[in-house]
Amino acid sequence: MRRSDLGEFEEVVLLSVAVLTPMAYSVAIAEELEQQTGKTVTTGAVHAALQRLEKKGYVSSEMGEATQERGGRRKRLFKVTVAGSRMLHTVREVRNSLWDRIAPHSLPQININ
Amino acid sequence: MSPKTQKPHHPPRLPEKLLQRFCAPHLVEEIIGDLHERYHLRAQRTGERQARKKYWREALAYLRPSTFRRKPSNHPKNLHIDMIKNYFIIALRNLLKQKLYAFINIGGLAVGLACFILILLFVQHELSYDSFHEKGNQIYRVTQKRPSSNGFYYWAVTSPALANTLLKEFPEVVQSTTVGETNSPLLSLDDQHYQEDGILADERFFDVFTFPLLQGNPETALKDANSIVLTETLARKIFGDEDPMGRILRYQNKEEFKVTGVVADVPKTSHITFQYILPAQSHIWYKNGVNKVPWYNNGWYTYAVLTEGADAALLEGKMKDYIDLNLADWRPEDRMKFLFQPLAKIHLHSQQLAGFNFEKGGDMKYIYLFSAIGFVILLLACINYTNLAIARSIKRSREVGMRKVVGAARGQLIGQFLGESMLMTFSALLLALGIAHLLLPFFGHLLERPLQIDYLRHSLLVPGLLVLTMLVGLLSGIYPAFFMSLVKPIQALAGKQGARIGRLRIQRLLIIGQYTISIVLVVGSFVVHEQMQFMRERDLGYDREHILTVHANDQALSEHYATIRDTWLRDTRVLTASYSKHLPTGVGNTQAMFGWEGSSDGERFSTSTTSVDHDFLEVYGIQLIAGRGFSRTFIADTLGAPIALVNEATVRGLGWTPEEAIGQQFGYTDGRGRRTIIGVIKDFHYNSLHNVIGPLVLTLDRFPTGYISMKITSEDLPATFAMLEKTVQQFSPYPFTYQFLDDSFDQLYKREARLGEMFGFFTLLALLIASSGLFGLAAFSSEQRIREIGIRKVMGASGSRIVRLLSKDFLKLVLIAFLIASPIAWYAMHGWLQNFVYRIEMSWWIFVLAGACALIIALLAVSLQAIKASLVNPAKSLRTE
Repeated sequence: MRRSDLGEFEEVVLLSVAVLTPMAYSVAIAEELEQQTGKTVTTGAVHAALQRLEKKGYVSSEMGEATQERGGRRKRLFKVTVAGSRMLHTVREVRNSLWDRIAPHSLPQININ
Repeated sequence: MSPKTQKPHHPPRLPEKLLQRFCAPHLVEEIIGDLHERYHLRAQRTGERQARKKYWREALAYLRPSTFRRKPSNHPKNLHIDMIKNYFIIALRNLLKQKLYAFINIGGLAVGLACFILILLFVQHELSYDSFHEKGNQIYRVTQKRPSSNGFYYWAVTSPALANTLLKEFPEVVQSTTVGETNSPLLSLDDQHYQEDGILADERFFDVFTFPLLQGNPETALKDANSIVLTETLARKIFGDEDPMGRILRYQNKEEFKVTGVVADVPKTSHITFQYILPAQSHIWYKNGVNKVPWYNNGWYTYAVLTEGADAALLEGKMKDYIDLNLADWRPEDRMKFLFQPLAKIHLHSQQLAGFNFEKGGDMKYIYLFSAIGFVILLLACINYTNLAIARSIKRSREVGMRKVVGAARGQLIGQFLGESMLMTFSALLLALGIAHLLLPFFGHLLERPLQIDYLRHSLLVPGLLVLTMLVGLLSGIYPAFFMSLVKPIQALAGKQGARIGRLRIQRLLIIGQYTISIVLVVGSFVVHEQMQFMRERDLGYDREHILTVHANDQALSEHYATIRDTWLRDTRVLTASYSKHLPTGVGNTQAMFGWEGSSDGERFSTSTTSVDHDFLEVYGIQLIAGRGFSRTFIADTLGAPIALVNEATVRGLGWTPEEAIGQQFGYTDGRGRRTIIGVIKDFHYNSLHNVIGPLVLTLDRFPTGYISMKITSEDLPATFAMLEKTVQQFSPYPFTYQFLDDSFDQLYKREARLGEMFGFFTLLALLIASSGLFGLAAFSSEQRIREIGIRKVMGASGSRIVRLLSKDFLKLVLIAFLIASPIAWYAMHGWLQNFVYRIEMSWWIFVLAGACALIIALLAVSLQAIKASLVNPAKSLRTE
């Protein structure tokens, strides 16, 4: 484990892995994020983030099956590890506690939708 | 079937190829798979065109370190440190085991690097001239190109009136100043006399140049005609710790000057050098009104500051128009052209300019030449390393084989051998710095430059040397490293020999290259030496043996010359004596003739000129061709009638025969009325041998300062000097100095002589390095063939046969090098000789001699080893296995 912090993009990717398991791999995650955010997300960026996450020990991977669209190449499937799960929970707790402590009306009103 | 579900084409291939090439192997499959899948998804969603566009973006997004980084190896890391330790140990053992090899390599590289460092320092010094002036890139020196009877004269000097004209007439000129030379006058405080070099400068001098005043006001320091500005050193020398400001110094024992400023010492890299500055206003031309000085009266340096970004070429054109307008009474073909020389170019680009006396000028040609020599010597040392390392690789092939067997990758081996060459070059660098430090004073003295290694001031020196050393290590180590890492373990361990040393094509090429360079250098130094010898021995048209000269810069000597001469001639050791304005080694002034019989209106004929007395021709043994010389027996001569002697070149230039010339009259721009030619003298070299003999006019005018030359006998010189000094001291407080004419003649060719010495020195080094390489190779070769030699001896081969066998291969290469080198050397030296008007013809024996030199040295290097090998008892050498 080199660094234990979690970047914003890494966090989103990690969450996507959790959402898409057992079919979490770069293309699926990139497509998912593109749909969610409406911005172009390259598989390259996702792939790099996944590699970082794996190095930090938050995800583990194994090679999946080959498909025709991939020209007969296998894909690498990712799973959230226990450490990753713990990290996600910690992050969520920090966020929640912060949200809870925001006094009513201290945020400028915005119209959602 | 709708187009959306149609099977899309293959995505573009190029990005895939690139990724396949550069990606870490363990990632290639998933990455390209991802790319393809996404491409198909996009193609279905938005059509193929969009998908292709995005595909590129996607592929480029993979250009990040995480994609390229290779998977860490499974081997434990600590092995690497042990391995590196092992590399060092092996490298050191190899060096210690083969001391000759180590000595040749490290020694050669160190000598090469030391030469390079020395030359680098010299080049750096030369290129840094005049860079300290604040307005440096706006300052120009105005020089002129004047038509002459044979081509053009280029003069660095102009009329002192020019500076004011520039400032007044041309808006591009922001500031201008005039600088003149003093005739090394005497400065005195009470009865202490100082003779130092100084300059004359007008009051705008400090506005143009950045010479900071430590005391005094730069605006006013040179305003008053009786002020003087001293350098810090001179001020301290004269006044000690006292305040020099406002003190009075006597000048030439007549006028008085008040110290109005102390200027910081002139940097060593300034083309203007001085110990003090006198105001130009103190000069007679200024006193009479400088703007009235005509434009053919030269002798002053004019500097101008142009507006930023001003185009000097444009200004030159404008000045041509101005001259055409204002010098309308000059014939168009006689008018000068003014040229603006940038300050930065003055030091290195002024060889053709006459009147260049402030400092020992440099020469861009020599900068190129020395740089080339530096690189060449370094290259020779690199080649030595490469060649010897290849030779040695045969011995080490078992080591390499063993390493490969236990799992060394090729990259590791290349790294190991490159590391070894780096180790060598860095130890050579340390040695080289030591050598450079030792040789620097000697080298600087030879080149007349105050060179020093200053690591702090030249902040780029240390990093530069490190980079250079790495490059040298890389250059010399790269081929052997690749070569050695190619060894096939099975063959190596089975004891099969590789190629024979000296037989490999690359080695042969390198040896030929080394010897080609060496032979070119040897021919070069022979030619330089021959040319120097030729110039030294050339008949100059005057005697220069047993002639003693005294620089009479005190007017008192001129006034009392008759008395002094009488006193001296009473001594039998003084044969004759003459008083002249210049020595025949350097006639500086020029004037123009006009209005002779048959000349067209306004036609001018430029000549050099100097004034001599009645005895000049006798002292120097200059021959008369027609007419008579100046003589005391002619009343007219002693009364100062306007008469002149001219040389053959003048007569030729004007289209007369010597006899016709006698009695001709001409006007002269020195403004002393029409002169009559009374005699024609044989041409003599009144300047350096770089120039052809031009027209010369000798006059009999009186002049305040000059030179006394006398022919003396060679008996009891110290007594003669004492006698001369005693006489002179009766009239002048100046320190008595004298010089033999031979010495002042040698000074004319000092630069070439120095060049010759340096060239010879570097040539010797080059030859030494090349030969030490050959020596090493021969040593390896005979060692490798020791058993073969043993068997040959057993079979009855004679010693000489074996020596021939071993030397033949190498000497053939030297011969080939000679054939390549000869035309190159001929071409290069032919070009160099064009710099001299009077030059030698390159004869064939120079080439033969150079070739023979190289061959003999190579033979020595090789045969020493061969003889050693042939003397070994075969019983001993055959027992080795």
